[in-house]
Amino acid sequence: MGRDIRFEEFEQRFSRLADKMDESPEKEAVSILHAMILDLRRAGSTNSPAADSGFEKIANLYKTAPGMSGHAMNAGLTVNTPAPDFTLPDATGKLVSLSDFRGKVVVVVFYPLDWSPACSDQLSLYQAELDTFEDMNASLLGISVDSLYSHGAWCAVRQISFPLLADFHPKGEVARQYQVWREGDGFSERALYVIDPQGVIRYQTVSAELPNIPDIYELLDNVKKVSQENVPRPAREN
Amino acid sequence: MDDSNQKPIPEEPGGAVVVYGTRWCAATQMIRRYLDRHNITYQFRDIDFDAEATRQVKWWAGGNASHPTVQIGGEVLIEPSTGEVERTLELQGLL
Repeated sequence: MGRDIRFEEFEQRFSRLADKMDESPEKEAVSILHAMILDLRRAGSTNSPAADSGFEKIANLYKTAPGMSGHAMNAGLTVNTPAPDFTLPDATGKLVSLSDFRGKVVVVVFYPLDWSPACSDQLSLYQAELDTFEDMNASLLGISVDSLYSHGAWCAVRQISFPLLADFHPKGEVARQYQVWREGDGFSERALYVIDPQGVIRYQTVSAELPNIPDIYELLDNVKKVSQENVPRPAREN
Repeated sequence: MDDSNQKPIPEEPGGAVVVYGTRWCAATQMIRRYLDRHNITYQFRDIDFDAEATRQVKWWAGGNASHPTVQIGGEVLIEPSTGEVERTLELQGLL
């Protein structure tokens, strides 16, 4: 019997014992030992010189960085109102305006800070969906109060290819325009706006808790809906 | 994602995939969307609302409600990367 098959059988037998032991220190100890074995097995299969490189260490800093917490303090702008135009620099210093994207669906992603745990995972989630957004004629714009230099380094490390805009000076001005500025923290709420090709807000959400990432299925459904309502129609022939 | 097409967890190795997690966790969403894109059927168990699922995850993970936790056949992966899920799917012949 192969080693992996035997391990799987042990794992399945272990799984079935979950409800057969009463809550007790012994049960907790067995559970902890199981978690330790999984960690050791994982370390044995993933250790590589690349994982210890400086680059990888920086890329994984977010996993052990302090998390952030806090309830939402703002509700954001309401749907069916015009999205305020803005102009901010991206990581290369190029100025990007919302109005540059007229004719396309735009997803504006306000997030608190580069390098933080939840934000790192959130942007990687969207990066993995770029083809899906593109298929719906939608563009993504990330906005935080970090400088363009921070955005540049973070994009390189996280392999983010959509524009991250620096709402750096005056600090948080665009976040204030969109009513997602957290005055006490000095950064924005975690918020999404879906803006239609005419520049009208069609969907928005502000995370009730800072670390909570909005449901990607809800976002994709709303982008799809707005995109389908705005498919260019061929001119009628007379 | 319509959860109605989910299948029960099979007992034998190499069967269905189960993702234990929450709707607000980016890592859970990333793995669910990875599975969607690869047309891999899976069951999603939301540990915010499914006490039995939470108990199971805590049993595997030393008392922590770790999310995502992914069961692929007989393998249990606690807070795996997408790469680890991909490797396990390949080993199980599901990818």
